Amino acid sequence: MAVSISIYNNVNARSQTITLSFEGVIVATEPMTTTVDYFFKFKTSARDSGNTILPVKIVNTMSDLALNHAKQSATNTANAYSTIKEMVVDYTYDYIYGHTANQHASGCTEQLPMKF
Amino acid sequence: MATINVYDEGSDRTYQVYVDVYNTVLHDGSGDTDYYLKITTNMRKHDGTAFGDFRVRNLSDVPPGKAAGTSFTDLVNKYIDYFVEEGEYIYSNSSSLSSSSSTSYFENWSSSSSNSSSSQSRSSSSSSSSSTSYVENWSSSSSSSSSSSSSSSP
Repeated sequence: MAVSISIYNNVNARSQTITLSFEGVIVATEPMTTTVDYFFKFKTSARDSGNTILPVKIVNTMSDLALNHAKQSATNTANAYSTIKEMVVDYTYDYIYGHTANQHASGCTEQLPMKF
Repeated sequence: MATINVYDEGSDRTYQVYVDVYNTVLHDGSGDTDYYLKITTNMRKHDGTAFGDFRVRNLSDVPPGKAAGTSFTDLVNKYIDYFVEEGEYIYSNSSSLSSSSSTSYFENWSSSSSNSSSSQSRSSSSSSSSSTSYVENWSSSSSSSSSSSSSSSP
């Protein structure tokens, strides 16, 4: 089971969806060395305003911030998320509004806003 | 959802630990929503009772006696270790580990019991299914955040 996050755009009365899941995968880093990683995965079929598919986002820890794992997207802070809810809200915000290159001096690349 | 299979050679049984994300409207008067992980298992404690459902809102929501997790992988492993340590088969006569026919990943670890060399293997798999959300009653007391704030469902 996963959680579906619906985003409604009031201007043109259209919705987009982000799917949030928690997954575990086997990671093989070298022969005979494998580990299991558990993480949150954000995925959406929405495109950005330039018609490019928005990327999948993986969150391994509370300090994996939305902007290049260095800064939160909605606010200029490098603090780790305090709750899962706070993480989900910030990643959703980042999908919707996008961000500029190096926003909040995070070193991130530009991501355009979500297209509705 | 992540599903972890835990094999106990002593009883030749495989148990499951389930970890999944949920979105719930809080029944605490606020009407607010929350996102959290729910960790459950079909293992039993050594006294035969069931483990409760653990709800996790941050990396400090760990099992009793465990330090805060450093990552979600670390957190899940702490819950698996807790279930194994408190599970019924730790008191069984299992004594050695051998791989089973599972196609997934296996990891050996030693039992915490000083007079037993019992060990288990665990495998992991993940799957996604159709998304859904639901409304669930929520005890307002469970919203407190501390190292032992993981709460069991009634």
